[in-house]
Amino acid sequence: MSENVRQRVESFSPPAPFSRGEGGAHSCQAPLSAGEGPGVRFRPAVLFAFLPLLALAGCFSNNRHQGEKLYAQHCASCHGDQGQGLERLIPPLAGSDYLTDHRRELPCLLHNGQNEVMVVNGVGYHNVMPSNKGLSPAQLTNLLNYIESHWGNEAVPRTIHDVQAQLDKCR
Amino acid sequence: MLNRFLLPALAATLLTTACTEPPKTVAALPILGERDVRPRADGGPADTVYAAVPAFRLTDQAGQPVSNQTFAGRAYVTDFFFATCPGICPKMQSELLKVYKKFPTDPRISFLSITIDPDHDSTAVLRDYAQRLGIGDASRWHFASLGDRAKSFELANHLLTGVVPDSLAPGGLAHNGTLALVDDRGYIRGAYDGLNAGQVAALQRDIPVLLAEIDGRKKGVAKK
Repeated sequence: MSENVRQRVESFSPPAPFSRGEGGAHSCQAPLSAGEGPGVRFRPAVLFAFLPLLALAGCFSNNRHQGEKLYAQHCASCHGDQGQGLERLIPPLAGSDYLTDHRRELPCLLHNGQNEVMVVNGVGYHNVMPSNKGLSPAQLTNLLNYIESHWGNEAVPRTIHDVQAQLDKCR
Repeated sequence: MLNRFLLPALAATLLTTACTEPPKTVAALPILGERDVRPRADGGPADTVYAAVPAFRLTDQAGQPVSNQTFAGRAYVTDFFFATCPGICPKMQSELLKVYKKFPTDPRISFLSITIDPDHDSTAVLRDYAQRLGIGDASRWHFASLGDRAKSFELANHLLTGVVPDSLAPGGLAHNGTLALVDDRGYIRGAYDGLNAGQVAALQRDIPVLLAEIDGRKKGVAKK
């Protein structure tokens, strides 16, 4: 009986990925077959119960932290990994009144950058904010939602539709 | 019966060994950069000659000249930046600021940030930058300019920072965020990635090692 099951395990091949994404952000990889490690014993029943779950989890978690990843990639070097800014050189994002006061302008600010004096929490800043023209409306939405829901910021989540509409009005 | 004497004796031996300090290993930082091996005229073992930081003459945010002599007999940490840099500079400067705050008043070590965009970063711009970073005393942390762009790049290379103009890089200049630790004789004793928290922590650990070495050298000179 147990030999029979083991044979089934050995002949089992991992399921094909549901879809192969084009870019890294959307790639959906099926997990490796769990029985491959030498010397590790699995109960076949448990293994079969978890395989589909693992495969599904691999596909659904890809874009979940896109905002956080984009923040680390495009913003954290200046604004800090906790949105703290840098003294009076770079304005903070954590607890920043600018985010709430200029909420509707933020998609354009991220897209185009800016080079004018900006007052945040009563302090004037004049450093250059670079543009981020490579970010899609969906990416900007995830990025803004991440910023606006961390470090004490509590704004209503944005939709891609809203962000797109605001981007259309950018000068 | 025997045990009665043996046990205290054993305990005593254990105690005394616990009290003797382990032999102190002398931590020494390496000398980085170019080196030359020169044979000696008398046929003795060849001398290794290390390259020191070349002579430089800068002007800092207070309008004061800064040269190698400014740091004579003292250690200093250098990095290369520019005021409008939207890329790695803020991260690098915030990390160096952490190191600075560990030694804010120690006269044996000071800090030197050199601009690679001297055309834009005038004395006034550098002064504003320093003040905004919270550095009130220019002699503790110099933000300085060489005046000439190409020469700034050359000096950067000597201090283990690579700089190339790059239209694709944020701010138009691609450079790395090396923090270089220079000793009292002008030798580079450490190079750390200013974007890597672990390496910045290593710099913080290495500074006291270097300061102890410099103190030792000064005592040696005083004895003679």
